[in-house]
Amino acid sequence: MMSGARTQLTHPLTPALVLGGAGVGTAAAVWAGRLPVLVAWVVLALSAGYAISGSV
Amino acid sequence: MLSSSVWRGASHWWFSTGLVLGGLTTAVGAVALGSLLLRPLLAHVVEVVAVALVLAVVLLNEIGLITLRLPQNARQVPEVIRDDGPRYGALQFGFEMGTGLRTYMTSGLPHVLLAGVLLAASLPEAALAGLAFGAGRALMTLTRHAHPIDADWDAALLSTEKVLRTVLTIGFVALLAVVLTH
Repeated sequence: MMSGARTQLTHPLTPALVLGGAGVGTAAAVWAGRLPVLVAWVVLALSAGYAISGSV
Repeated sequence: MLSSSVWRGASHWWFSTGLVLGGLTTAVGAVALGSLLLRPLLAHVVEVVAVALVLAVVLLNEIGLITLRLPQNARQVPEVIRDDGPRYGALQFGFEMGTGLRTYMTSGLPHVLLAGVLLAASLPEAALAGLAFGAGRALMTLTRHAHPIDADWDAALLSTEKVLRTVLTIGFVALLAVVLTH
């Protein structure tokens, strides 16, 4: 049970899904004035960094 | 390359630190270059259009409508770095990869980010973006390290790569639209 949960948590798609969702959510929140644009830059760069994740 | 000696022991933390520092270095360099040389000559609308054009080219390239080899220094880990040991060697290797100047670029999104930092970011935004870029790269290292079986993680990455890139690209485009219009 623990191993299954850990496998799902460390699956390479999991961070991508979190970042993709955070990207859309953050964009909407910044657009609405609820978050500073600085947060959008952070999530943007996290996504770009993870996008080349297979290259190491 | 993932079985390289820089991944043994606690070296992944040194490698990840190097990634973050490398990202910060490139971002600060890019924002300085953009602020001193490019932005004084360009109207804001031109800067936005230029970044949007880079994004358009990258997206067309990613979906295969055009075939373009984006600039990259695709190089393996040199022996001299591996020989520097699990700490300094991993740190140096991570730093070089974090700068984006010595790595295989399997996606064009970092090119778009660089264009955005060059033409549209303030210094604090660029610095945080650089740190976050390195952290995004380190996320892979740490996730893979935490996975019970390395080979399974590699196979999972291979089988889900298209979905992974699509999901990241959707979020990326939404965020870019916001940072360029603020």
